Amino acid sequence: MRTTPPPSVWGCARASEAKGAALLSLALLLLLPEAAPAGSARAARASGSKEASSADSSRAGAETDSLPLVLGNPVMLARNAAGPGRVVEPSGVAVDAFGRVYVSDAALHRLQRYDARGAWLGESGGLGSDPGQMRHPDAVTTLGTLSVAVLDEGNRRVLSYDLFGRLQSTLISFDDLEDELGRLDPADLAADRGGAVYVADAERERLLVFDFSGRYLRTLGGLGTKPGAFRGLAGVGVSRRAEIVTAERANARVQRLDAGGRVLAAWPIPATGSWGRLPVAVDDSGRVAVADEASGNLWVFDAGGRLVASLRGLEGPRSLAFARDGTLLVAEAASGRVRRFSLEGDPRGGAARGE
Amino acid sequence: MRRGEVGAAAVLLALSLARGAGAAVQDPGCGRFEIVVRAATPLYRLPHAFLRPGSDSAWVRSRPWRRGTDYVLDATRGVFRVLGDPVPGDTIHVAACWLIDPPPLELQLNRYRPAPGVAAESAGVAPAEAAAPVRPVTRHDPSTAPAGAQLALSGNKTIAVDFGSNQDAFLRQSLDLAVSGTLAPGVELTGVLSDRNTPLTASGTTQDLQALDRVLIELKAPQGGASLGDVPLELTQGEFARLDRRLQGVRGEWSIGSFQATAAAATAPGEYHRLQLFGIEGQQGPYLLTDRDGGLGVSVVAGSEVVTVDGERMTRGESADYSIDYERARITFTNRRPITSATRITVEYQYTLNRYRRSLVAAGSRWQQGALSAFFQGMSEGDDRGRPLDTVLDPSDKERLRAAGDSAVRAIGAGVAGGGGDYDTVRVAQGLAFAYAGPDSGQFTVQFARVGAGEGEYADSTIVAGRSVYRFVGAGNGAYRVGRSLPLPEAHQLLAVGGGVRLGVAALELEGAASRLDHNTFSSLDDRDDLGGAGRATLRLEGKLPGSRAAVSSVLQARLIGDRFAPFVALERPFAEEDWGLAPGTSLDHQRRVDWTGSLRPAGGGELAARAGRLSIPGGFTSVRRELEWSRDGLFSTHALVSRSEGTGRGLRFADGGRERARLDLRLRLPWIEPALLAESDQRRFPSDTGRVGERFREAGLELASGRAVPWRLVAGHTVRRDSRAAPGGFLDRGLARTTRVSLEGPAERRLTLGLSYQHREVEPLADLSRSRSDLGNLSMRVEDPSRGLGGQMHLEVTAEGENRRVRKLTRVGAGLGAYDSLGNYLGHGDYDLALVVSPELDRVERAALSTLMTWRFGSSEAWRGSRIEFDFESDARRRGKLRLGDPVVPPGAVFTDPGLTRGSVLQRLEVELAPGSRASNLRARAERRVTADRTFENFSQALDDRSLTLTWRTRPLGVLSTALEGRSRRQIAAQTVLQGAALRRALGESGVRGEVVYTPHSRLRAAAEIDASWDRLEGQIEATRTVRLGPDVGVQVGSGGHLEVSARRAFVGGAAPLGLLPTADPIGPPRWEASTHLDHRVRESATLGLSFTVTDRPGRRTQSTGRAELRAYF
Repeated sequence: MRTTPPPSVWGCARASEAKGAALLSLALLLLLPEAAPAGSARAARASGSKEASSADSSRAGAETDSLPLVLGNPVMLARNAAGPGRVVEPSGVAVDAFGRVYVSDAALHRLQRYDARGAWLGESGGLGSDPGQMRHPDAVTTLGTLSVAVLDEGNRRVLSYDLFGRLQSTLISFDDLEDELGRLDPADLAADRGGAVYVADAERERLLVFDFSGRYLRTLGGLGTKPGAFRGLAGVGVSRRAEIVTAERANARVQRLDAGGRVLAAWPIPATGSWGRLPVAVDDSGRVAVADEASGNLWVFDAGGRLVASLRGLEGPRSLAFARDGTLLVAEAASGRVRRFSLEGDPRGGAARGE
Repeated sequence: MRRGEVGAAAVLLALSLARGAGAAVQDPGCGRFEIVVRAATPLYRLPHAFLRPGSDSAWVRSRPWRRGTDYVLDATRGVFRVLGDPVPGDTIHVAACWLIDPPPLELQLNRYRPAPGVAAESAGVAPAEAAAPVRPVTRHDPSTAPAGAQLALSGNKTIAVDFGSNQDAFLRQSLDLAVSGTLAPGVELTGVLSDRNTPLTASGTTQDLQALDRVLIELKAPQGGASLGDVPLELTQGEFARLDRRLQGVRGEWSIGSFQATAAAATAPGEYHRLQLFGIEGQQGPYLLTDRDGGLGVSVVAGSEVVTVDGERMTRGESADYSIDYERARITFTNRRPITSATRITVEYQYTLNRYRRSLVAAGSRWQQGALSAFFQGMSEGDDRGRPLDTVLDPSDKERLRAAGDSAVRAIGAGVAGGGGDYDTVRVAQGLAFAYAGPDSGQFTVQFARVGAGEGEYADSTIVAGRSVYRFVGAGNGAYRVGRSLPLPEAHQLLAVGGGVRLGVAALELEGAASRLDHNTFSSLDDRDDLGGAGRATLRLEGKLPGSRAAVSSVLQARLIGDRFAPFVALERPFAEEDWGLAPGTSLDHQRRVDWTGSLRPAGGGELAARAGRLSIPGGFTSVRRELEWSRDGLFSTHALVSRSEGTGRGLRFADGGRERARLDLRLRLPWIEPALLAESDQRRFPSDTGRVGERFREAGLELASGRAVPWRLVAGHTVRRDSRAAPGGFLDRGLARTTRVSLEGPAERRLTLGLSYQHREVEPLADLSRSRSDLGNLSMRVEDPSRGLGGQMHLEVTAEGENRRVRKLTRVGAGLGAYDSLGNYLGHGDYDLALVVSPELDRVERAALSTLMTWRFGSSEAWRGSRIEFDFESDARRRGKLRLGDPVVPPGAVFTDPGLTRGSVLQRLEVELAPGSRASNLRARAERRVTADRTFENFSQALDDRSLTLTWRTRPLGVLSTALEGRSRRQIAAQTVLQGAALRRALGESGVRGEVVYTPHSRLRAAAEIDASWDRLEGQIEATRTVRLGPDVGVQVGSGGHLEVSARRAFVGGAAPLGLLPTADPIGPPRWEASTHLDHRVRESATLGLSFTVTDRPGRRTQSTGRAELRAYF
């Protein structure tokens, strides 16, 4: 909840105070040093595997202190351990209405299923290109209410499964669209409650829209820097009202678009690394979670783009998904684990909480 | 931030402060709050309490809210409660005034205590504690929700109309609903519904695209729950009335105190069947599942299968034990479960109904109170004889069914129809018979009914174009007869009750069951044998030996299963008949049996078990069995088993049957190493009327594994097995099999993950077995060095499978009368027709699949960070017989030319991306080669080779201007060959350039211009085809809620006429004109109207236009 201070706070200032503020501004202008050169970031990078500069961490820390929500209570759902349900490189995660979790594994080339508590339910797929097989599966999303779609990146197609892990069909074949749309490089996948599918094409910086039967409908966006266009498109998510949320690395921003591609909102991402995915998840209240695979950072914004929570120290977060209970699932590809985080009010914050 | 930016901010700050200095002073105790509505959350605590009554107001974007109707406000606690059902995500604006210095909410009374040394005024009488008065304003707890459901409903409704110049108007609609929440305290409801309606053609008919109409609802309450939709049902009480089914219906369970119950009512999507089969040496699959008559072409109800191998339950999954193709009813085992000729496989499953719609009702309950327990289970499953599937029963068919009794052989309807078909009549010695003439090449449509071996005149021959073909073999020589098998509707009921009592060390269980199975509800003939019964009594004794801590137990069980008793599932575990000296497949569903099991568990560990039993089955076979088993786990683990059974049949020449089995397993569990020794001998004899029947194997093996102290798990083993077959003089050796296994698994670390398993098996023939060799293996490796930006992974699988032989049958039908060319390419209008002939025989094929990915990321400056070089190698090679050493990394040229590869595919791709963060420009390059080959047909082969090189350069010269320039070169080669027929080889070269300029001055406008020039030339062609394609793309915001996109392309083609790589019915080359328009308008916050229209014009063809109007609403 956002509180708008009453205008009297601003109204209390008098003319003398305004003059003092102007003098202070001039002093700041004269005394502040230049921005730190790019070389200092190299030293910070050399000290660890994550690309977080000291300036970024202090800013994030300060933000964390004042943010109204906290991501905490991580619960392990799946990990790289011998036995059924093992994941080595989780690349996609989705949650259905019953709380069941679907995780794609790019190293083992299959789709794993778990119940809400993390008990393994089964798996689908295997290495290959035949129907039902996969090569480097990537993003996973719920398709409507009764299906799950998997981006089979190596085979350049999208597969659909039912909620019990049974293959339904090859929904989209990108090679079949090459004559019409040119070469595609699918970077991410999202679907709305009506089963419409959105594919982020990193090759030409556009979103491809398909209907629930896999039929190509239209293209949104394209190369560009202003809102409505994309550069470094690295993640896509869809809200419950089919608002498309994208994350771009080169433009370092998040955009919120309506179904026609009209820009509703755009805001910058605090800091990004240089490669990898920027997975996006949107919950029922419109909150947007974005993670940076390279730096291991995760941010949660409210519907208007205000930062409400952040988290550092993730190991290659490649996919995000909100569950119905408001918890956030994070698939960390570098460490081979999927964890569930709860989003809770910060007791130190003054924002209103829902009960 | 740079100094310039800080300075600008400071100036702005100063200006704003100065401007604010003159504003009027407002009440510091009033303000506005904004609430973002969350799902299933009616209460929101405001930042201030003690709000001034009457000062509050609330509104949303569309309208103001009324206090008491849309919301209530607890002014003392500052709690805002939303009434009604707002949409999650909406913003509620609340304005109110509050006390600047409010009192605390909680009231705490302090009790008076006199200071030390001060006497109380009334010594010895403690002052009565004054009851804290209840403050009226704090009495009501606003967190108490009023009674009633709190459900959140969300979903989507879409209606779309597709239209065009060459298609009827299609209406597509879909409805997806999800509901979740609470119906009452502790009662949770979750449900989803998906209704996808299909194209409605102009003629008014609809057709199902796929079965997407489904409902899934789950209800959970403290004392039970219910499910609606695709539900599993498992009833496990007792022995005679067990049930395990996959259903479409409703299931509920509840428990009250010591009473538990389950009930279900559903349509059964399939018919239960159990299939027992032996493995094929070195073939992991596919193994075909059939219906109960042995017929192929069934589908399996997904998730209904239960698979066991050598008595052990298997798990579905590629990293587990097996995978299954439900549509084609095929099961394939993974390398974790190597299959040999001695492997015993059992699959219990439901195959999709092909006779009548079937329903099932079942209920079960259990009660336990102290030492007493009781249970009841009942089920009824029946075919709806008024709703046959895939057939229509006329009155004459029903008459035949009434007269047939329970015999399927007598339920044969008419099976010949004139007016064209696959068969013609031919004259044979016995008169006229039907002979196959070809697909749709004869004068009669003839159906054949299976009547049993030796009962018919026809036999099945092969499969052509997906249909079985039959040939005349003479009366009494075949299993089929001309006619249509009429399906017999069945009805099956079963009831079981049981109970038990425990008295001290003793426990007694009793169970009785009755069943009724009517194989043909149309007929009352043969109904006398529908009823059957079964009973069981079990006495258990458990306790400790007097004077010691050793535990003992004894179980005595007597079982009687009548000849007509019909359970719903098999009562015995797979291949249990062999334990008694009976041949595999002999039914034990009807028996009289007494068993005794005793066990002794000494205080020092381990368990000694003894078993004895006597079995009689209808037909006169009686067997006695004895068994002794010892097992102990610890530093030195031992397991020993000795078992012997002897049986005699009645009326058979070789009437004796039996089994003698011994097994020893020794393992030493040291911290660093675990050696193990295994030995087993198993001899089986089966009664027979023709000769001595039986088999024997003897196996010995050594295994070495790393101990628990070693982080890496290594297991290596070698086994030798000798198989023999019963012969007049004893047993005759058939083959000697040597198996070597190695597996290695590393600890799960970020930098290195490794998993390896390999098995090599050689079978040396000693009599009639053929020599064979098989290799199965898996390798999975992942390495990462984040400091250097290096990463790599590899996954390899080597396995053995079976593949059907296939033939492409091309028939010349006349100029333009067919749809295919002489190579079988679909043209729409051709001179040939194509039929695929599939043989049921399987050829053994070995397969190697490999996936390799290597990545290097580099770059330290802002512009170069994220640069990468990535190499991807993917291959899939299948070879009849044995794989070659290099097949896992088969080169692309070998895929193209090696005739021994039945199927092959190789992808090599190198990608380079430089300076992705550069403002000025970045470069991306990709070189790719993809080769595929298909030689699975005996008389046809096809190979494709596709090489491409692409360079893309992107720049951003201005903030509003972006450009992309792409150069490409591509060469494709295709080769097709028909044995003793046509051949084709083509090579197509293409090179081209594409340029794009994008202008985005602000978020309301995006304009782009694209030009693409390409040169295509077929090998051997002198002149190239030149194509230039150009046009604009414009996207503009329309009004406050609309967005319009317009795109157009014009193509100029010169030089030679465009030609494709392979003959095809699709038009070659780009259209001369192509234009599209999309308009989207947000009608309300959660509804969107979309209109799109596309026009395409090609030389020599009619202009085509397509359009779509769509309304999508979300809630």
